[in-house]
Amino acid sequence: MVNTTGQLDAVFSALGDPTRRQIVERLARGPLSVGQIASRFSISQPAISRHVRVLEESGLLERHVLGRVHTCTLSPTVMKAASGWLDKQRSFWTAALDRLDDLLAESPKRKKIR
Amino acid sequence: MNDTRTPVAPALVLRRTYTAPRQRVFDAWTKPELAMKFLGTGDVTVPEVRMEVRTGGSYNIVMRMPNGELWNVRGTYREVRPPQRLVMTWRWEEEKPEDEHDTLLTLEFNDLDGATELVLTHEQFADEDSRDRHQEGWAKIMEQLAALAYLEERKK
Repeated sequence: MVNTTGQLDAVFSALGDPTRRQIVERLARGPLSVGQIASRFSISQPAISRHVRVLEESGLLERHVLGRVHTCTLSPTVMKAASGWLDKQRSFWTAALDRLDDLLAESPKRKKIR
Repeated sequence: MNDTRTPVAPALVLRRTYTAPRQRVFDAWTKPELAMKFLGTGDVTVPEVRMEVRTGGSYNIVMRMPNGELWNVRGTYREVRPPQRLVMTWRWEEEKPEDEHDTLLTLEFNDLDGATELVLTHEQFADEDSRDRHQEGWAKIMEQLAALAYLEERKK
């Protein structure tokens, strides 16, 4: 879950690098192996592996191992954490603001305005 | 308003107009006996509210869930400007303290000829500095991931 400041920092710092952002963009189109990612960049496979590891540690990228092939996919966790948090707060505040309306309506001052 | 700014995703912005002068709406947020009447929603009751309403002061709100569980919210006032603006951190207590996370709650009370427009902004970031530090990262995440059709499919 991306709900702690440390994890958020890891995600943002992972996206602070242009190569890693490009990796994320490619993975957005579908899963790729580390080798396939490397073949699309003009930098060495060890360098790509390092970038993949940074993305993996941030939680943005998930690696699935099938035999000797490591397949990388983007994790929907980031989006889910963000939208789940918003949904929770929205329902809480919407109900609270309705009750505030009731509370203010109870008051004698409101009656004077009417 | 000179304070208006665009909140950074993920942020929740709710606007509501109340037929009451803003001092009264402000009081509802800053007097424990009033706050406990509306912060508890539905089956949730608020048995305890403690507030030290001044910049740097802290507050604590206890909510009782229908199953009897007690949930705690606590935070610190960052800005107290009656009757127009209230900024505070907002932290839900979690079972594991490492899951806890300060968020930022901003309440603006705008006078509309005797009525009050309340603008509530709840953001995941604890303060404007950290929000600004994260702005670029969030904008990129949202831009890149929001459009991902295959993630949507996986959610279904």
